[in-house]
Amino acid sequence: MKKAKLLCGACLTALMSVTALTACGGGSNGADKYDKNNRLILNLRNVYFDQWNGEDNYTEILNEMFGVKIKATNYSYSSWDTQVGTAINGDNLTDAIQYNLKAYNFGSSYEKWVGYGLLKPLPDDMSRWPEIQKMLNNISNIDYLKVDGKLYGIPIANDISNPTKDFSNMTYVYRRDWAKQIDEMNKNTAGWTNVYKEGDVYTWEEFNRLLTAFKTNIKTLSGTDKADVLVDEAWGFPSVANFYKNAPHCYTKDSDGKAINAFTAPEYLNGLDAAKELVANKIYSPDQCNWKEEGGDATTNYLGGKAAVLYDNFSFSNYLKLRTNFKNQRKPGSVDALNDGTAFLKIKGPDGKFAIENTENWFSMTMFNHKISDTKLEKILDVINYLLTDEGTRLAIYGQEGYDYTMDSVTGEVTLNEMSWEKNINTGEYAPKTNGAKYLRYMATLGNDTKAYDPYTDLTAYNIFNAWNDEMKAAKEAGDLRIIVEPADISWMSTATKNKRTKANLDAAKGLASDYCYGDINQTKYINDVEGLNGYKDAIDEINAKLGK
Amino acid sequence: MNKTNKILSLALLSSCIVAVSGCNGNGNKREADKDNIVFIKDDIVLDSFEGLGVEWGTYEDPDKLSASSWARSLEIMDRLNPQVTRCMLNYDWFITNFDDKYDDDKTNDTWEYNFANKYMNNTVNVLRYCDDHNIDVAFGCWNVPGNVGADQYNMFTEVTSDPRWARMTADILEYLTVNQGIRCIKYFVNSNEPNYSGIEGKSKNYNNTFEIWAKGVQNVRKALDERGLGHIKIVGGDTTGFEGTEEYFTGISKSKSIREAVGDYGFHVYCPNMTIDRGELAVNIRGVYKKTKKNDSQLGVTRMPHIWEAGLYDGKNAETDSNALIANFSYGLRMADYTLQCVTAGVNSIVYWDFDDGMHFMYHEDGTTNSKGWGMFSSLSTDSATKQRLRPWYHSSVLLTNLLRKGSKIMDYPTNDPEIDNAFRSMGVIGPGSSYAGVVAINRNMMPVTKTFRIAEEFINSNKVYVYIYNENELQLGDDGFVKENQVIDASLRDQIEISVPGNTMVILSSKEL
Repeated sequence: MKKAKLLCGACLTALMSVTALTACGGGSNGADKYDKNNRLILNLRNVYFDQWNGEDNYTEILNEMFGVKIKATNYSYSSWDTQVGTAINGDNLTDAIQYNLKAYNFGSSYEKWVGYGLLKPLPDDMSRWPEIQKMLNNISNIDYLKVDGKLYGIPIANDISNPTKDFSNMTYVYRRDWAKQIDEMNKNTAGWTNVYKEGDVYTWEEFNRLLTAFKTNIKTLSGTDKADVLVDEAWGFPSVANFYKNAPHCYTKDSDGKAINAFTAPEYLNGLDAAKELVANKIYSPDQCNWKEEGGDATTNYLGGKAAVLYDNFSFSNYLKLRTNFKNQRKPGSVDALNDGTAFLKIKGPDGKFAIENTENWFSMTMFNHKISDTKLEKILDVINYLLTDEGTRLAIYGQEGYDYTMDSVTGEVTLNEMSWEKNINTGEYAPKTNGAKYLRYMATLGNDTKAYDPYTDLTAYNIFNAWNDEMKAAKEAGDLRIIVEPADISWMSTATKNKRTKANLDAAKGLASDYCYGDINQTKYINDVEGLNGYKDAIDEINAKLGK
Repeated sequence: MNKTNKILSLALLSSCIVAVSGCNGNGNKREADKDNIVFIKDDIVLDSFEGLGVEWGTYEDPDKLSASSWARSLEIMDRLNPQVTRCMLNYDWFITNFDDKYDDDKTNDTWEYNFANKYMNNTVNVLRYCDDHNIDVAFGCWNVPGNVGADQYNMFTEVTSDPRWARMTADILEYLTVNQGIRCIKYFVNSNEPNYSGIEGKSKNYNNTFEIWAKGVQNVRKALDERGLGHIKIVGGDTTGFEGTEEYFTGISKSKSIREAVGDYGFHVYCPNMTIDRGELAVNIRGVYKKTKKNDSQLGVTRMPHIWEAGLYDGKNAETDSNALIANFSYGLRMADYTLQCVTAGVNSIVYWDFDDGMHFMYHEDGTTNSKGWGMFSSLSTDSATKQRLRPWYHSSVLLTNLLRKGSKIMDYPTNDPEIDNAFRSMGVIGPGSSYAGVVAINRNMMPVTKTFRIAEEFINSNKVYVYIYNENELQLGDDGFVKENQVIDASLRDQIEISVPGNTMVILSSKEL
């Protein structure tokens, strides 16, 4: 098959540590090729294209509509970055790729790839693709993504119907059933005040009392000696620091607007001490410090009935997955019991406010191989733009009009066809079917805008998820939500050392924070070690130089 | 619900003839009446059908089989009465004492086999049943040995072109045919779905290409011939999806050496419901057939087209590799429709996926497993009673398997062309040696349609017509739990029989009891 060749020899291989070259997903490597029906072949790759290669009737509708032949390959989520890096290193990209672009890798990936000419920019005039343009208009911090005024890809919107949401879904779920059980066990105890709070909103004191009550009763509740009270997915530890810190990652600013080390800022140190106390009190799992960054350990414990409170990134799909797995593993027996086993826990910190890390309103980016022709790029944009229209969205969500659904021409009401929207006779749930239009729509949006009416949506889960979002949104409007944010001018700033060292130092600092909480090092050593991390100080100096501080 | 109309009469109706001009599956154009269907000699598209069957592979965990569940499985298989099956296993179950010499020469590696284990016992049990019941078997190995994350035999780079693969294959087939005396293995499957390469780290097949696979086929052919196993043919493809199948069929048919190394054109079809519902599967099959035939005139003559895995894609849950619609009546109706469309398009045998949920498992990262729910039932006592029950599509398959016997003639009808009528299809069947005849009528309309049927070809007339109706309301099961006729009428399919076929229903008329 394809022989990968290096575009820029040594400088490219130096970009990333990945050296293996494979042809996997390489497609035509940009060249215009046509299928037997003279349709332009588009090789598209995306992490969400799991179990889909482009062969389905709905993709065929798009193929016919736009004179293209869509071929799809996916990335394995666990090696997504590596697979993109391999293709970049080999200059062996599919026509469209998806990259997990973050602020911390912006300079070392996107900006460099643009510099080396590996990516094809969007056209300056996007008026031919009004739906994409409309979406781009709402993308947060989009100007930082432009190089010389050009945008090299499409940031994938979290929710095009709710672009103003700027807080993440990184939060807690807890065993509400256990909290209620504790109260039930103590109902005859004189002077007992319930630990469970109706509505799941807890003040800092109430939260700490709940944790203590869990600790006291964890063996009874879990039926095992090996259960923990609080578990964070490793990347999120120590989550309780959120209620103190004012920056989510490596850098923050002091009161003079000068960049400083976020991991040694006084607020973060207070948060670390709070976490250290929870470790000392055996509230945090003793295993927490051994878990791997890629995650899964804390969730495994929670699903195993061996944890009372879990911190994770509860996007709707993650929350749904938790509920599905909880249902399968814990067998709660009823929807109410499932809800009680996976309830959102809403905590107000010592300052009386909820605290959640911020997020951009997009996640990852669809980028284009520099070798593709203008025609091919335009075809890809045509498809994406269509899928963002009402008609295209219906194709992605309901299927083909006439076969899958009918629509009232006056009211617009959609009625699903029973023969094509069949339910599993045993579960009563709609059976899955492959709709390439839905997959392709993920090239521009995560699809949260359609969840409310997507027939596959578990509405019970969705309503719970949505209620949490609405509550946090209301709290934000009322000034009761503190969103922890890294200043955008630092986040998206590119400096030599920052580009090179930020991710490594982020990981290293988190490791040191874990060491500190678990007692391996004292605070002075922690501070010295963090500030002494290779390139950390240099990066801050470079940032301040650019900030003029 | 609507109570369905039964057989009405043996009337000769000619008052409302709607004649159209259409082509049947063999390309013969003729005038045909949409409502008064008469199958004639000219409609024969297959003159020696090879039979229907179901995948019955080696059980991945034979320990889960109890004596009673095995006995029940055999009883269920007896009634299904298949004539072809596909039996797949893993070589890893047998390879032992592997000595990689850690040099570049793969031919000097050595290993032994442990055939005295539960996997081989189960394999032999399955194959002996097939021997005893005259079932032709496509036998094969899912993939080259080695764990996905480990590749301990260093075979993932060369995949089936690795010379050790051919040697292992010949060793194992020799053991089965010579040592065990198994006679039913007619085909070897040179790895499952070779065109589905997947991703490194997730698939053993990530490096595969047609060229690699073809080299593997040639190596295996040579090794089998050297062991005196020339009677075992190699499946030509075993690919999945029309695109991948076209690639492999083109590669095979264009190369004399490759096409002579294979024994058929074999592929898998997992079809979306929409394609079935609109009658487009037959069109797609004919497309592949026609292209391949251009390069290989022996397609359909000495190298037959076979579907080695047949199923419906909609309803697939990728996490559990199960089908959420497998217990729905509609699955049976669509699989019957699938069968009709494929055989009238020239496919000479079909193996359904699959027999028993208890054969295969999904292994999850958290250590849990689930049985793959894509069978006709589950033999696992640990599965729920609902899953252990015979599913509707078992019953529809029993009817077809017992009607479309080996050596049958299959007759397509011109109005099956979806451009003429994409919601009603029928085919005629003349049994082997003209011993019986039958008609399969599938109505995919929501409403009933009334048609008359007649077979104008010769067959031994029983003067009885057994009528079977497959839909949720009218499927008849006997006291033994197996399908039985709805009605027996004193009549002949040589005469014109009028029936009203309810919406979304298959009706089978047969001169013999199925």
